[in-house]
Amino acid sequence: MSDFQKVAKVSDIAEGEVQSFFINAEAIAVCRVEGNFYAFKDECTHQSFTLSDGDLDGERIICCYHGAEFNVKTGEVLCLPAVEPLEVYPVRIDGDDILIKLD
Amino acid sequence: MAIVFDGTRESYVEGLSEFLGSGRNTLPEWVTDLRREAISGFGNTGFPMLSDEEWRFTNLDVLRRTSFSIVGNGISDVSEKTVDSYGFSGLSCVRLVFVNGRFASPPSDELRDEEGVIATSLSKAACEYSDLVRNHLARYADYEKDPFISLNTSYFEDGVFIYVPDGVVFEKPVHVLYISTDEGQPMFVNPRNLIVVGQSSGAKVVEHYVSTSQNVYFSNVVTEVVCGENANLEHYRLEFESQKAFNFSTLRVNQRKNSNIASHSVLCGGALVRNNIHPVLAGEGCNSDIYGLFMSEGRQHMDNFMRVEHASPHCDSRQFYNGVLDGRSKGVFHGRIMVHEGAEKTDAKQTNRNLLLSDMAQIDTKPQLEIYNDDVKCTHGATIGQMDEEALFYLCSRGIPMRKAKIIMLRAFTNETLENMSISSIRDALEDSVMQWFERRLENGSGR
Repeated sequence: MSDFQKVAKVSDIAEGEVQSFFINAEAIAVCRVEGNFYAFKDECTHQSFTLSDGDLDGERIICCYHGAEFNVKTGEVLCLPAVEPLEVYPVRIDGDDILIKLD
Repeated sequence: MAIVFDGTRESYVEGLSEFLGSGRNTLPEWVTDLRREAISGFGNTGFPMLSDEEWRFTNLDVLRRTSFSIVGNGISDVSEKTVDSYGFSGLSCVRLVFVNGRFASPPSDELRDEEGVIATSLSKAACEYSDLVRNHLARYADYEKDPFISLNTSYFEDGVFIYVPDGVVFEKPVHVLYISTDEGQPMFVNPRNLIVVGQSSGAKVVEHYVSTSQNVYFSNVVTEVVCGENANLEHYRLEFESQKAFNFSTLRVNQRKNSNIASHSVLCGGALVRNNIHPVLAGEGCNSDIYGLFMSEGRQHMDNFMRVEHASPHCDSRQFYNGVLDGRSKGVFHGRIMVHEGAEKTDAKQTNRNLLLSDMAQIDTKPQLEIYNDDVKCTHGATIGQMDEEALFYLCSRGIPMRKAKIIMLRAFTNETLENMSISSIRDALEDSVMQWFERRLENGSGR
C-alpha cells in the first residue's frame, strides 16, 4: 500500500473551487467544500473527459462535456450519462499541505 | 542549458529556434529545413484531445500540463556493466546503445561490413550516407498529420540507422538499446530510427527501451522501415521503461512487392504508453504479421493503435494482440484494417484477447474494418475475460496447486504471442520476465 503523498497546498484551493494536479500520469482533482478537502480521479467515468473543467455545486461535480454528475465525497453517480462511480481518495491535511493516498 | 517546454503548444513550436541555435542540431542543413517544416504539424494541432476519435480513450492532459526539457549534453555515464545487464543471455548480436536519445559510442558495435551492411547512428549516417538517408527519412511517417511524429521530426537528435543492401540476408540480430537515466528533471527525448532492407534481403532488429531509475520523462520514438521487394524483416519492440515514463512510439512500415514483416511488441513499463503500428502493404503479395503483448499493473495506461493498410492486391496481414491487466490499470486496443479500392484478394485477420486480473482493471477494445473492395477476406474479433475457473478447477483436480495452475494458464495466454518470435534467447528471456511479473502479481493477491 502506498503512503499519503503531497498533492497541493491548502492555500492553492479556495472555498468552492476545484483544481487538477498530477501524481505521475494520474490526474487528481482536489476541491474545497465548506472547509473540507475532497480528492477524486479527474476523469469522468462516462468518457474520460476532465472533470475539473466542470462546475462544482456544493458536494456535486458536474462534467461540462456531457452533464454527468458525481458526489465528490463518496464518488456516487448522481446523474447520467455516467453509470460507474468516481474513484475518490482519502485526504489528510498536514499543516499547509494536502496529502492524498492512492492505493 | 536545458531547453524547457511548459506543455503548451507554443512552447514546443517556439522551442525549435532555441533547439536549432543550441548546437544540439548536429545534422546536415537539409535536416534543419525538415525540422522547420515538420513543426507546423504540431503547431496546427497541439496534443490530441479526447474528442479526436483516435485518442478517445487516452487523456493527454498530463502532457499539456507537465514541463519537460531537453537537458544539458544529454549523455550520462552508464557503465558497461549496466549496459551488459540489459543483454540477452546467449544472443550473438550487433549492439548499438543510446543514452537519453544520444548515441553512446564506446559500448556500441558499429557495423560497416564488406557486404555493405550498415548499422550506426542516424546522426552519423545523415552525414556519411546523406543521399541514402535523405531518400527515406521522413518520407513515410506523416509529420503533417501526426503531432507526435511532427515533434519527433523537429527535435530528434539521434537514433539507429540500419541498411541492408540488395541480396544480403544479415542473420545476426541488431540489438538497439535505449537507456534513460535520471537527469534530475523530466526529460524530453526523441529517438528516431530508420531501417532500410533492400531487395531480397533480410534482417532482425530489436528495439529495447529501459530506464536505470524510476524517473519521469517523455520518450517520443519514431521508427521508419522500408522493406524492399522480397525482403524479410523481423522487428521487436521491447518496452521495459520506468513506471513513471510517458512513452509514445510509432512504427511506420513501407512494404514493397512480396516483402514480409513480423513485428513483435512487448510492453511492460511506462505510466502512459501509446504504441502506434502502421504498416502499409504497398506492393503486391506482401505479408505483415503483428504480434503484441502488453502487461499493465498499478495505474499504468497502455494504448495500442494499429493501422494496417492494404494498398495492393494479394496481400495478407495478421494481428494477434494479447493484454494482461491488473490493479487499476487501463488498456486500449484500436485495431484498424484498411483495404484500399485496388487491393483485391486481401486476406486480413485481427484478434485481440484481454485477460483482466483484477476487478478494477479496464480495457477498451475497438477492432475496425474499413474496406473499399468487394473481393476480400477480413475478420476481426476481441475478447475480454478473467481466468477460466473451470480450467483452473480441472488443473487443481489433477493435483496441481492453484498458484501453479494460474501460472500455467497465464503462460499459455502470453505464449500465444511470444511463441512467434524466432530469436529463441529473446523469447526465453521474455517468458521469464512475464513469469516474474505474474509471480509478483500473485504475491500481491492478484490473479483472480
